[in-house]
Amino acid sequence: MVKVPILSNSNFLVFLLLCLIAILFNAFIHSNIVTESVLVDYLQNQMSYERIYKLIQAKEKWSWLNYTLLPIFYFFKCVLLTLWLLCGAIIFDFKASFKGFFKVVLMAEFVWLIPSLLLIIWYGFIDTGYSYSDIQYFAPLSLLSLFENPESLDSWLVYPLKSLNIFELAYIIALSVGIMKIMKKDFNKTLEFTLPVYGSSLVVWLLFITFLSINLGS
Amino acid sequence: MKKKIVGSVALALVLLCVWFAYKSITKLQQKEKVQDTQQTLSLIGEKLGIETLDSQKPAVLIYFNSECHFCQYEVKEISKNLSKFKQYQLGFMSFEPEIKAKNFLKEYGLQAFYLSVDENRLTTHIMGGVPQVFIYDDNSLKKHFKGEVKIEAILKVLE
Repeated sequence: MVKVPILSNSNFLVFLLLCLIAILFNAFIHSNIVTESVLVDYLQNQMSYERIYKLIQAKEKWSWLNYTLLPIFYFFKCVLLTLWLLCGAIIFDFKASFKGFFKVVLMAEFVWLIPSLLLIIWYGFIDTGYSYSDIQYFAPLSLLSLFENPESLDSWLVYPLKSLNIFELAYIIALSVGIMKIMKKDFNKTLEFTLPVYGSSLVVWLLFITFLSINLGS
Repeated sequence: MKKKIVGSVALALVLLCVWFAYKSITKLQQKEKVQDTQQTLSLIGEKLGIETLDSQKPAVLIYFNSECHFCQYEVKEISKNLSKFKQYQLGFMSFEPEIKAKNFLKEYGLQAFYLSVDENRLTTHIMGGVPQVFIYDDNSLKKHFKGEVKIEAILKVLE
């Protein structure tokens, strides 16, 4: 992995650890949860076996790309969110550094490994008789999980309903605690900062993704 | 100064979000209209300007593009199993120039099933990518497949 100047040594190690765990989870899910038989079961009503196996072969051939893109995705996500928080700091008159905020964002990002871990535990060890649709709509502790039959929802609704979950709250708390530590302010003050600043980024992101899924989706 | 810059960026983002929301709502309304149009063979035929379709007979309409490899597979499979479609109305529609689409179908001996539809009408009344397969019986839409679909799945709908 190439070292990037804006990452200090400790930030780089945290980033490396985050990417490694995410890649491990991803690899486990793709090899042990989304198995060949799960995909065949899902696609066989519409596609012939010959075409399904070709599709699976192509998926395996390009799986390396998934792992290569993960660190790039995390890097850009963390940089963008850090810049967003820095803009918020200007409005709230908080004195903050890029490196400090970047570390907080990196640490908080570990929260997002929990849903993947839950998916591995749930379908890997508890409910092993699942279908591909179950994996697609797996969103524990989210608004989507309140729907008995999420498949019947319009596809553009799935992402926002999946995204509004308990982990977002945990993420906001993790960001607030991190900011509290680096800025030596009390938790209520940093929560009052994080809620509107991160919340606004979430609203913009959800609107953007929903816009894309409505306009580009079939 | 910094606050003014951040404030301007925030205002631009709010405007962008309003635009996202407006475009999304417009598109959703358009999608709803399109879905209504696709419900009956007579209505979609009328909207697309196809006069040769008999709304009382079962029909299989395929929306394709000659350069899409899923469409190439679909067209090849239909051509191999053409006898199984004898009792149904079969039609291929594309937004490409007529000559290009016809030449492509000719390679598979299916040029006789080409339906000439104006590109604007087609993209207005069928949204999304190619291929798409519309299956009608008794003048109503029985199944709409998005993406390639095996012959058995098409025929099963019409059984």
